[in-house]
Amino acid sequence: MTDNAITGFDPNEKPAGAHQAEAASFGGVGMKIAGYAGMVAIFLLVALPLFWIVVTSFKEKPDIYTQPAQWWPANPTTEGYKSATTEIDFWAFFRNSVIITVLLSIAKIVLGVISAYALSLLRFPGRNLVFLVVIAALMVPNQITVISNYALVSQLGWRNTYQGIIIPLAGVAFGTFLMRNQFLSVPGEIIEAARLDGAGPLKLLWRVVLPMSWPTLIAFSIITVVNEWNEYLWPFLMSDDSRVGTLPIGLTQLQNNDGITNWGPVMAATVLAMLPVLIVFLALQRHMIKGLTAGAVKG
Amino acid sequence: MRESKTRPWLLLAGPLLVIAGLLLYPIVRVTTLSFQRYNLREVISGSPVFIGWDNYKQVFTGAPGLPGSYLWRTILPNTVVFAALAVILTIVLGTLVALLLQSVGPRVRALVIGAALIAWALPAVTGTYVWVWIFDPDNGVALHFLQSIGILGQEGHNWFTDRYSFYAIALLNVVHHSYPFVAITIFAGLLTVPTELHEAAKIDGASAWRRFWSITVPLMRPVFAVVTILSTIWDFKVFAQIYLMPGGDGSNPEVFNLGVWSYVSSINQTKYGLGSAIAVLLTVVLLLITLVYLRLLFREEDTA
Repeated sequence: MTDNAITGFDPNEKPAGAHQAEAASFGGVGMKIAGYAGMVAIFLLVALPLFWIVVTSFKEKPDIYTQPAQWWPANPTTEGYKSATTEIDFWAFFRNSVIITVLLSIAKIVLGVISAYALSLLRFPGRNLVFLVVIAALMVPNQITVISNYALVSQLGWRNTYQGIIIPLAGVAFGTFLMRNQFLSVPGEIIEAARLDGAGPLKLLWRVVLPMSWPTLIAFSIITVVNEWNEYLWPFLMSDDSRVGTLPIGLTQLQNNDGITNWGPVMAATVLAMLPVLIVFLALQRHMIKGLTAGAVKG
Repeated sequence: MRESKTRPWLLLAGPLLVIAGLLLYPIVRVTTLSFQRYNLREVISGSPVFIGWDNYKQVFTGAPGLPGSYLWRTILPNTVVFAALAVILTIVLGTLVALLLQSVGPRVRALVIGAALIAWALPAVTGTYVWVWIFDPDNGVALHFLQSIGILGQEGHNWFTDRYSFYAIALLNVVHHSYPFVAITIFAGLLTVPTELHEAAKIDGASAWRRFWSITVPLMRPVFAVVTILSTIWDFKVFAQIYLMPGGDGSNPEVFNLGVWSYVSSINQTKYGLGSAIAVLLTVVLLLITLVYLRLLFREEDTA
């Protein structure tokens, strides 16, 4: 796990030799061409909508609706971005998204790590039962919690408050599941050695287990941050406006403005909403790729 | 073991309280609600009426204004078949992209990973808007394209009123949004498959296809298991992507899935009892799938 600089994603890393040879020997030349054509098709399917979003965000309003479609803005403009940030209270939505995502992510990461630690490295009766409950909790659909919590939170007068959005979402099961798998893969000898040195459970977690689990922890953190950033249903029910509403709520407001969608600003706001997540990706992706499977594959 | 008996429980107390308060309590409450009539009148008076299995009867044999076979002909196919297709397509596409990542040069790889990560970062809300707009019945890119190559005439076509084309678009949207996680996870898994095995098999004359199925897939089984079950859970619970499409917000019952039906019944129509019964049904379906998954998981830990 200490060699994540090697195994983590690195754009300059050479593909493993065996696989290069594998691609070359994939049937005849015809197969190879078909393979590449398929991959190009997949790539286009994936990349075109994204390209379309960015291009549209820089178009002038009339150009958005011309046909045939313009694949490049004829008169590039940042008007869309100006409208996106003035037609709705964009920066308030942005601030709310940051606050809610940060607090929720911290809560989920701490709870996930602690419970995973107890469920993997401490032995106590009922451990498997607790794990079963956690797995079952992973299945609970939003609709269950929404119906139950909606009335409760409304009665508490917590609509349009941060705690009304944050607390009901803090239930964690995915993190427990992912981190438990990772902690189980930490070699038993190392843990025994640390215990013999007199490390208590918390010191063991902080000094030994966590430092060996950074890639998985980072992967879990990224998944959590992305999910909270994009969470729609609950914030939508809990907020009426930009006081505590998050960016997805702002985006729906922008889309419904005047009944007619002005796609330029919507696409511009989408690009702006994606930027923070992309920055997180760029900063952490090197560690993340290894982390996603560290718990699943032993080796 | 040296540590005291109470310490694990001290550590677990916080997370378990949260799980109990935020996930288990709602299950109990919603299960109770599902046996009650709790419509607008009862919400105001604050005293729900116990009605036994009536809500479930409505779910299984038709709620007012809906055909008797609604659950079987519309809701379950929209939920189960859609989730199955979405999971299969996501895993296949994710695997293909992962294999592509492995066989291309570093620059192309960075480009593909970049595109995948952007697709993942795209909020479900705007991801849905983009697909809705691409297939817009009056002005969409898809319409113009199909008209320009002569497949569609000038009369145009509304894809959102027909259930099948509605879900085809939803499928594009969901797969587009969820394949990046799968692709990157599988790619990371592929990095751990020892190259010697492939070399040896190649010397023995095994084709690439054969090697993929006899070496890569068995070694990667745990990775495939994890991405499959997570995709299954996510795709069964798809909500925003349906709700935000034209008709999905309550006006076209033909295109609801279990989650949307539950939401529309409880929040839009204030029939909390009925909505709860639907939510319970969704949970039961998910739990059944989990049981299958747990069996696979524990069998793996036994043999490992």
